[in-house]
Amino acid sequence: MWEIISLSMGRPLYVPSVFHIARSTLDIFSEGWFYSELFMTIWRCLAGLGLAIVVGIPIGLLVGRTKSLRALLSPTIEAFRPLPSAAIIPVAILFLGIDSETNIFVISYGCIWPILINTIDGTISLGRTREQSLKLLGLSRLDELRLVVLPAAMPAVFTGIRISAAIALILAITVELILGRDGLGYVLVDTQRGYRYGQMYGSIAVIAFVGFLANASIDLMRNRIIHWR
Amino acid sequence: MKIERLRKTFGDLVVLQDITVTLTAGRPVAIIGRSGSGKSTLLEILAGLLQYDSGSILPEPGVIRTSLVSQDYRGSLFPWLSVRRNVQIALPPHDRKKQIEDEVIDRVGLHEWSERFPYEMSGGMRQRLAIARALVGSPGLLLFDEPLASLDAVTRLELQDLLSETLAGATSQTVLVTHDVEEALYLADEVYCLSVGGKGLRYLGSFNFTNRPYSQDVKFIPEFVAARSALLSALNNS
Repeated sequence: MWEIISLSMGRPLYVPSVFHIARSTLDIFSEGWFYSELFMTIWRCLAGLGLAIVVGIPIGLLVGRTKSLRALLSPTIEAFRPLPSAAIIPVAILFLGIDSETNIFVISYGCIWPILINTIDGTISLGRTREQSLKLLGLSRLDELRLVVLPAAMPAVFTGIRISAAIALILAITVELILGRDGLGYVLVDTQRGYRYGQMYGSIAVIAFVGFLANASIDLMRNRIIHWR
Repeated sequence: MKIERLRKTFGDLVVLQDITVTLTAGRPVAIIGRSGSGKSTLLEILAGLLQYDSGSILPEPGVIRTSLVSQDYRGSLFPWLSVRRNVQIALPPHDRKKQIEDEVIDRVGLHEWSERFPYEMSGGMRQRLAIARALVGSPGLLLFDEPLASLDAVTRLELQDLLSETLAGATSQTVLVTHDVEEALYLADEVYCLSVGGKGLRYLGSFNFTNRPYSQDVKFIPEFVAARSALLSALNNS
């Protein structure tokens, strides 16, 4: 499809052939600087997503199982959840500067909502019979959360993580595009401004592949952890 | 446990009325009744899962350690825990390291499956596991809500024999809810009938055919056949 479009437009500079894109992609991999940019983006995604998981899951468990806490926090959650994560980038820059902390903060802000909401949904009700069993077992609150509620909610939790992983990559690239210092987002801007369109498209292909790998990794982890599905 | 003049309504609907029964340790009670007669509601009240409107239950639900086995074994078991852990979780924390669960897992015939998971087992085996969890630690009150209803005929007979052996030696107070009249006679010493529309609990009699536990042959002796007919008639009239 790309080849047809490129040929029909007379091979303009900004729509190079697939062969040219492939060769340019190999070129950037042979240059040492690309790896540090790639690593920077991946590290920010992992840090932001990790923070969202570490904060979102425990809060989701408690809110999901505590009616009073749910009533107390729902208005706050519903107020902040619809706010586009990109809208807080200026605020993050104001308070955190133009370093990795800004990226990680924006990514974790964007990632926490799917994880939190899905965890809450997964824990609110475990099903009538299971809730009855739980009540009769008389477990401590901690044992209840650890042995029953969290495992039961894992399918919903992983759905949230999967959604958040895609958001993490989107936000990482977005912040890097704006800050223009490092990372794959910066590479996109730099190659576009330098008329190196083959490398620009190649970088996009790499970003797509990173997203694919992230998805595949999460699926693998899910199948290992949720072995009873 | 002494239940007197228990009443339960859901809005305008009277589900249970004038329910009076005394449970005795070692003498299982069966409650038969048509669908919608409130059998499961009664069990949920005895388990402390539902509040009742009036009457008295002594001691109050929740005071005696209670186990409930329902027909929904998929819902009650935890598929992420092994057979051993599913049973162990029913024990108080200070008993969990004593491997008390081994004896009851052996008793229900799941010894070779202790480290496997419920999703690797058949429906009959999962119900055995649910029964093992109910029995571990000798609860004071054992409640069975149509535990064999969702099983095939052959498996149901096997588990009837398991329950028969288990209840013969049990020191718990036991209530078995079933729509199967034969099962009620096979497993319980006393049978009651719950009428639809909150019309009360009727005592149908005390039944003992031979020494417990019974074998399936008991279902063919004349006294059992006569008792089954009488109970079916009572069920039809309820």
